[in-house]
Amino acid sequence: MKRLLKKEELNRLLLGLMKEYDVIAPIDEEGLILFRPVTKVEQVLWDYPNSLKPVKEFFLPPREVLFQFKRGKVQPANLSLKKRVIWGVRPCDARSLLLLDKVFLDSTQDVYYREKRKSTLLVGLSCNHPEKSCFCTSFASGPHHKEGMDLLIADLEEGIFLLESNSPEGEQLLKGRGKEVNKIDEKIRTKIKEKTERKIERKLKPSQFLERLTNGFDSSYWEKASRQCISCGICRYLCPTCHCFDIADEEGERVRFWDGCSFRNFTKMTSGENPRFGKRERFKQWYYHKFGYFKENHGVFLCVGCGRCLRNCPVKIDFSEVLQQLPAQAQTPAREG
Amino acid sequence: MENIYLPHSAIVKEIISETADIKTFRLTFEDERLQKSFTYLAGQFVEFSVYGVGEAPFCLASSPTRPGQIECTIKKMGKVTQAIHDLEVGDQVGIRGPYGNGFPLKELRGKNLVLVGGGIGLAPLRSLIQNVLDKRDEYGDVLIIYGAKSTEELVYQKELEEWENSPRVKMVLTVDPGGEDQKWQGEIGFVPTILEKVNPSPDNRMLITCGPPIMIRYVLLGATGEMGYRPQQIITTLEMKMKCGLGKCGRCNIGRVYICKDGPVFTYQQLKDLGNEF
Repeated sequence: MKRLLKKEELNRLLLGLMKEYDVIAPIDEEGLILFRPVTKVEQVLWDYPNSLKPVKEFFLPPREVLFQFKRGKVQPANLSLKKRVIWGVRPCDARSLLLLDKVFLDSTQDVYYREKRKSTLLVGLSCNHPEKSCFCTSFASGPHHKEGMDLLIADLEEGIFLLESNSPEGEQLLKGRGKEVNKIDEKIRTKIKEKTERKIERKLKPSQFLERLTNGFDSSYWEKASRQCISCGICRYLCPTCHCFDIADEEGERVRFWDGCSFRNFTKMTSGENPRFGKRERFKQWYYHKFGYFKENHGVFLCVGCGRCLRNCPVKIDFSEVLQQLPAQAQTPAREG
Repeated sequence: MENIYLPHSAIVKEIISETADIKTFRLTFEDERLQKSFTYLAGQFVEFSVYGVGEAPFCLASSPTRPGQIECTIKKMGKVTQAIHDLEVGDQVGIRGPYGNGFPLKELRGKNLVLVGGGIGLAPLRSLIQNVLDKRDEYGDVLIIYGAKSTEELVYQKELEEWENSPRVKMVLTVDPGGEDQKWQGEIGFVPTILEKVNPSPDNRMLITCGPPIMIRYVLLGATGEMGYRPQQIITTLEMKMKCGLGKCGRCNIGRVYICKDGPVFTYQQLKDLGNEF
């Protein structure tokens, strides 16, 4: 279902949602754009570059109690959650959840993740002003894609919005609102969409990745590419699809935390053995997991082209360039295997 | 649906001191129904919890052919294993699993076997050995080559004798040079060296090995060298940093596989196909 809404009508829709759901939306928090629980329509940003952090924290929190234990009795964490809406999620981030689903909702379902997914509606906002660091169109996505969303809002500018449902729940939200969409509106929408897509200058060639990665495992290229990296892990933490974690016991509870392959301890065994001790190996793992192994196992790349890794890298590593520059031919090994 | 991270409560029924820093723990689930229905394959592992300290993966050292026996042999190495070693009979722990693929028994049936173990690496092999001995007719000759740094560091000492006296089983025990004592009647030398010396023919045989990484490396090289084993004939079980046991947390990912989910048992051929990270 598609409907055309004016700004006031859209505000009314959001206000209505706030009455029924917990609403999480992008706000400006001391200059940082972040998704936060909101209670007032005025707090919510309408035109914003993508948030600093992706929405994965609402499904896989940085720190999450799995269960508590008291004198040997295990008490599972309360999984029930009030119905919530994430408002204003960008197409790249909505798509990232479909990729995380492949990990957490496979044959061994992760109930913590599943319950959060089940209780959340995604109302997205298409992207009219992509950044220089964006490259979503290289990964089967785009600034106006509705994949993974319940409802997509396209800003037709001049205070008019085209809303398109993508699930029965989304359709329910749209019912009886605004007016019908005509051919002219559709044309405007297509024009805006195409204009935005043209603004995305980074164009990667993912079809080459798998072969080049396979050939280049021992390439000296990785030595060069990883040289600047300081293994801070921000690319992993801010990536909407990075999902590696650790589990540890704290006082009375078992907790899981975000972790990442850039850290040496990630693969360090108690025996002292560490298959990825060196920075080069840890740097490389990220590329091999996302663009090699995940593709081989699930048929898609574990990347949505949001560009957060390269926007936020403190030493300005251009992650998409590292991929683009992958040598076509295997280079001499940097060290003895 | 089941919460995959919740351990089941188990009680320590028996603790056997194997060496100065290795103990075997026999466990029973508190839930009687679970105790009866719990099944696993030789080569699989469990996540063992000491609440308040943490959780770590250990292979099941017992055999599914002996129902009711759930045993882990654990070396004191770090925080969790220290807490496990501090356990007493009657203490409660958490167990979840079993996880992993286990040994490919179908492919081992009807074949001669050589099991090559080093140190605590005998634990997963013990599960297989017990399994094979309990179904003796289904397998060919069994050769066990087992070594440790010194005579005091050999595990399952009583059981080693039992195995030796089983039909169609040959045992070769060894200790590293300098690890022998005056009573020692076995071999003296590193496990890969002794394997080459015994030189079991690769005809209709599978070689299964587990031990320290350096030992495994030389066993693989030696066996596929002059001994003439094909990589498909060699099976090893890998140790890796594992946490969730379900292919989610990411840390045991090497190549396209997760050791916890797709392994920990692999043929040498499979490892070769995975690339150079091993």
